[in-house]
Amino acid sequence: MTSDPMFISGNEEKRHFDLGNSGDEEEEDQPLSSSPGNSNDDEQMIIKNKVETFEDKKLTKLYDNWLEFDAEIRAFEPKHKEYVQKLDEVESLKTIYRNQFNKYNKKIHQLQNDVARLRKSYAKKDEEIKPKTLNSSLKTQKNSQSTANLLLSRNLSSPSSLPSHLRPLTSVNSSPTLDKLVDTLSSAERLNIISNNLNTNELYLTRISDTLPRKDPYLRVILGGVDVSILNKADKWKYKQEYEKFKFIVTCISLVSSLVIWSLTSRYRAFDALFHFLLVWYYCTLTIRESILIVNGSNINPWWRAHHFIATVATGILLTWPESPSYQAFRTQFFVFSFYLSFVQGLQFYYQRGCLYRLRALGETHDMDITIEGFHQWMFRGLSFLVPFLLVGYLFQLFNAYSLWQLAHESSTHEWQVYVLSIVFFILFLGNILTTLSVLRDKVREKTRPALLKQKYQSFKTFLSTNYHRRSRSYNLQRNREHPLTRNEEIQKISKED
Amino acid sequence: MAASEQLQSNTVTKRRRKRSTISSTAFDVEAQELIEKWEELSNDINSFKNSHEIYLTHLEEIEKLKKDHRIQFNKIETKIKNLNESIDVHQSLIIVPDEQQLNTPTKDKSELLRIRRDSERKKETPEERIVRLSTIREHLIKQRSDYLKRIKYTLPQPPERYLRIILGSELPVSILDKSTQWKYKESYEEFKLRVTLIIMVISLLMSTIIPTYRALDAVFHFLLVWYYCTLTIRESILVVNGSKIQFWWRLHHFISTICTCILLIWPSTKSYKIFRQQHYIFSLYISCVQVLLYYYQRGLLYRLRALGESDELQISIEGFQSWMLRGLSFLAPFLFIGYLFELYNAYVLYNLSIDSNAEPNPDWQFILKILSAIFFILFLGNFFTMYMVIRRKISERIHDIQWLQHRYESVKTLVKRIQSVNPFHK
Repeated sequence: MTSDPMFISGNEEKRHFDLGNSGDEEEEDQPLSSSPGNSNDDEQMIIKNKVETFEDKKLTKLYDNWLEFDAEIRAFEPKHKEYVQKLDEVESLKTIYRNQFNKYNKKIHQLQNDVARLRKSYAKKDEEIKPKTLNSSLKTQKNSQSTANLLLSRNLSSPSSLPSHLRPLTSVNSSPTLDKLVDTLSSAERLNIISNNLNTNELYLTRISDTLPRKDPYLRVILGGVDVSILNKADKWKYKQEYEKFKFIVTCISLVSSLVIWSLTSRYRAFDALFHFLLVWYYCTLTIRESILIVNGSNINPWWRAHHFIATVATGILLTWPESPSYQAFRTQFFVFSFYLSFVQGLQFYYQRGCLYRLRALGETHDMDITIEGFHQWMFRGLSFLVPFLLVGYLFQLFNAYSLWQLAHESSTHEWQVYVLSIVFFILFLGNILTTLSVLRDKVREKTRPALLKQKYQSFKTFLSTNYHRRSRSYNLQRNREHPLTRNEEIQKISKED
Repeated sequence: MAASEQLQSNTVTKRRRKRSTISSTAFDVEAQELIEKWEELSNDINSFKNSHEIYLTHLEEIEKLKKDHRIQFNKIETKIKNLNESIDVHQSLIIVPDEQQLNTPTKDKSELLRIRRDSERKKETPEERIVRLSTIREHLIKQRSDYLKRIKYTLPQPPERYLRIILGSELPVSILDKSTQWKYKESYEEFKLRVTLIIMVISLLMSTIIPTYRALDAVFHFLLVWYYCTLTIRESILVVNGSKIQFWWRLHHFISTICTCILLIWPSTKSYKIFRQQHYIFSLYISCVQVLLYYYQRGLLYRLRALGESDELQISIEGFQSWMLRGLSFLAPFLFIGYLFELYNAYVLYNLSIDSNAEPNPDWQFILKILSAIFFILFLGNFFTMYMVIRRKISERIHDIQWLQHRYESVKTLVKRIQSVNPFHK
């Protein structure tokens, strides 16, 4: 508790700052500056008392605060140690489980392939040997029959190991009767059972793959080894929402700015350059964010990812296109195209968000499905009006490619950009058209609605009970319950009214 | 009877089965293998399933803890800040009467106070109060805030504005494990070294062997732009994870991005052709120096970290810092020449912008002026940073010299003493 010279000099500095100040100090000054004559003592003391008790109160408050804070932090420390420990544990577990998971995945796939292969060869073999060894097949059938009988008899004695073998083995547990069963059935049936099990296992693994961290090579280059897997479902969804908001906002900005910059004459190439930079930055950021989404479990069609990379390259090339007659010739068309594209994309994103929300609520689409520029399967339910707009956009791209090609063959163009750009636009057009056509084709080929419904609902009854038909039916039922008129009574009523 | 019959039928069926398996040979054998494999796998997966469920509960717990802890931590931080502030206020309030006291004999006030306060508990003179407050602050609160600073980076931090725009705001980019943080830093330095090497090689080729194609130039410029952008992203991530990168270096990277962007869109005019060769030589020189820097800095940082004298996440940078004086001083003149080169670039660009012969387009004249201003700013910033470092070192050295002088006296005496002792041993 000694005051060192350092400390006092610190205070001296403070004194220089705090000279003319609050009312407290002035009040304190007065009694002190006048010499401590005895006559003024009482007055001084009273004033001092007032001031000092006020200050004391603050000080006691300060002390109290400090003590409270001290207690809090003392409680915080051990909790934090525990937290750090748990954190380390979980992190190490993550990596271990990730490796194990990969191993199992590989093994499962291998086994599935082997089983499929074997089955094929067995089927072929079966056709070959069927006429010859009818007896043996009969025997095997008999075997399975007898073994089923055998098992039944055994089951009478040992009821514990029952139910698993009767149903097609949905559980993964291997019980002793399972082994017996495997031993006694024919190979084909064994293979069937195994492939069913493998499928269940695979489904299980895909379900839990969301909880383990994943890697991506593109992200590796840009971000380094940061682990960007968000393992919490709610956070993942929030991240996806943010991605969609970002896209929507930037598309709106691009819409407005393409209009503005088009109206500015081409004198200011700098503004054009700004617009191109915006586009390049937008597509780059999209590629990064989409890689992050994929790491977190979104299934984005690889064509759309490639589309963004190609778009980055295209806008980059546009950026370097020097000021020349060919550029002037193409400029208007390019801005009209950007305007139209941003308009369609804005529409798309706006409506897709609502559609996705609805579908998610109905449980018909994966959580991490995102709004994206093309046309997708799930968009048929409500967004089909967008298809003509998209097709017009793609045709516009084709037209761009064509006009650039024409431009390249004119004598006044010396830039390489024109050629390359026309090729790039053509590639984009091809990719977009093919993807959209494949989606449309799948829709046409899709099973008719009743068949689809049959797959979904096991019986007509469940279909009725789970759909909106139910509401109308139940309403009718309710009405009838309230007014249980018989037919005769109805007729009487009607005649009376007459 | 029935049982024996059953047993017989068992054996019969078994025999029949065996016969049937033997008859469809290879297929069954393979199937058997597969079945065995599958059984093994299903056992493994079962155990994995169980441990995974435990892992899931742990994971949920940790995620919740992270959030809760973060909130608590923030609360505690604000409290410490408030306490500090209020202590400041109190200290300032108390000091003034002391100053006034200088005029009057100290005893009077303290006596007065003592008289008044004898009846009250826990009251003391302002001096004691100051002393007490300062001890609270220095020892206890400071201790706590140091502790908090230490553990700050084990809790997830929100990313800063730049990262939020690029990556989205919910992304957890805090690496909470110290060794992984270090690995991330290492990968960042690897990345810098590798890309700078590539830039060096390409600029060497472009300035000497490969003929002048604007397209290849554009590719090179794209590489530069991408490199600087990625650097800014990675450095933001490092900052979120607790690295103390000096603000100037981050700003330097942002400015370099803009600079290379402008170079990118520079059309192939006469002025460009004049500037091109110089630009490539400049890139070549700078990338050479940077490669040297990074290579040696890594070794130096490793040594300093082992000695405990530098921060865990201290990165290798393009300039000159004080810790680099311990062993990398030979690089300082090279860096200095690089900065002068930047100044020369700025000068040449400015001349080009004025000369209407080389650059007829008035827009481009303006942009060239901007470019030269950018180079000039870069030069100023770099030079100023280096100057501060050297100045501090010189002033330190003066201290060192004085201290050495002081020590020398005692060393002299020490040596004398040793010499006097030695003949005794002999």
